[in-house]
Amino acid sequence: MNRFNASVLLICAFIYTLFVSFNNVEIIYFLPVVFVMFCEYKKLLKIFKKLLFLNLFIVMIFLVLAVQGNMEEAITVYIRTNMIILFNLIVFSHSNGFDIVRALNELKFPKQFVSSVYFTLKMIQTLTQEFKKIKMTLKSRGFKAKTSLFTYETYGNLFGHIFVKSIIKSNALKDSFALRGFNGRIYLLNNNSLSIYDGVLIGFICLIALSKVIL
Amino acid sequence: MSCSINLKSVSYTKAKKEIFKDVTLNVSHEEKVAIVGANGSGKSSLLKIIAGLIAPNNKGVFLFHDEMNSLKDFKKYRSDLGYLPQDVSDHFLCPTVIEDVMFALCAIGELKEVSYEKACEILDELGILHLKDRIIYELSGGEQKIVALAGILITKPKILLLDEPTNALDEEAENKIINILNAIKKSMIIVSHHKTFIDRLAPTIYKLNEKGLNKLT
Repeated sequence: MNRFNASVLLICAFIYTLFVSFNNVEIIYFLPVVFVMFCEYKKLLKIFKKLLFLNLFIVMIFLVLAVQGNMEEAITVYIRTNMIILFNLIVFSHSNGFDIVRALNELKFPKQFVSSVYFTLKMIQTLTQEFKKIKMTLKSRGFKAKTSLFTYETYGNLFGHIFVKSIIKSNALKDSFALRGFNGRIYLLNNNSLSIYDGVLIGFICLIALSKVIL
Repeated sequence: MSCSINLKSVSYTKAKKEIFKDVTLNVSHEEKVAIVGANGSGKSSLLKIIAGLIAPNNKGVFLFHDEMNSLKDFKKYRSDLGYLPQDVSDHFLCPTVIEDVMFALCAIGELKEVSYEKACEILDELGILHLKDRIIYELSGGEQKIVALAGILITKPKILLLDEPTNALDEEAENKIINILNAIKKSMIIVSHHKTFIDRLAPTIYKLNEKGLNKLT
């Protein structure tokens, strides 16, 4: 969500999640969700598809609670979980992960923590690319997954390959640390500008907080 | 002419297999040297030995006439050595181009504002200032190589060690890198398979095999 400041999004997502998790669902909680939906209307279809997929798991929780006879609790948990996930999916729909690292840096999290999060993300990205490459190779070499020993062996080799690759990449990163004088922290440029969208989102979150304090 | 790098009978063994032995090489100040050789002949390993990333079997690596007895000895020459790995994605430590280029200066305690300005200058010199706010992993292979080179050049190293700098690049990107490297007046050791690239860049070419280095030109 480029029109928003990443730090603002991170804080708002955290506070919103806290409020929705520990309070009964009220109309006022829908305001930030509707606002971010309005800001991100072009991506809504994609986001709802993701939400639908995640609902496979949420429905399980709902069913377990419903079978136990806690219908009211089941419905509350179902709505709350969906609201939290929907809000977070929308606000981080543009995120490539690095803006979250930047936000953590701007919010003065410990430098080592910021570096660790960044390098974890970098490694996940590298290994995801590697996995995609291997999948394409399997496809181009005519591999078809079946329930055979050969298929299981191939998948075993695939995960083994990714494991070895991750060790190689870690060693390469260690070499880069040595060569480039890494001293436990990365240096990021901060973006301190706030937009009108940030202001409105903060306003809605403050409104929720105030409503809880006053009412 | 003073020597930047001296190798005296250096040998290297990996997984009980002798990769090369008796490698002797002298690289003078601002001299450009290329090393060619078959796959698995140890070109990249030799470059890593000079960069102080792996240790040879014996001693015999000298940087500015100072013998490197262990990998720790390389620490004081770290900023004098610029090493460009074969896969540059391993080189990057920051998300955006500008942040990665200014990293090395920030790491030695330079102010962020000063580092930023110097990074902009070097990006401008290399003709990629327009990429400064881009996420590195979204750039093309050629652009990534130039960004990595900028990240190395910002500390003004005296020696450049380049491992396959034009690997998997198209002709246009290759020409751009040749022009950039030709304009740099530093000692350079380049490992590459590209004959045309080497011919246009390095007057001295060595071939590496298990018996050592043979001078070709």
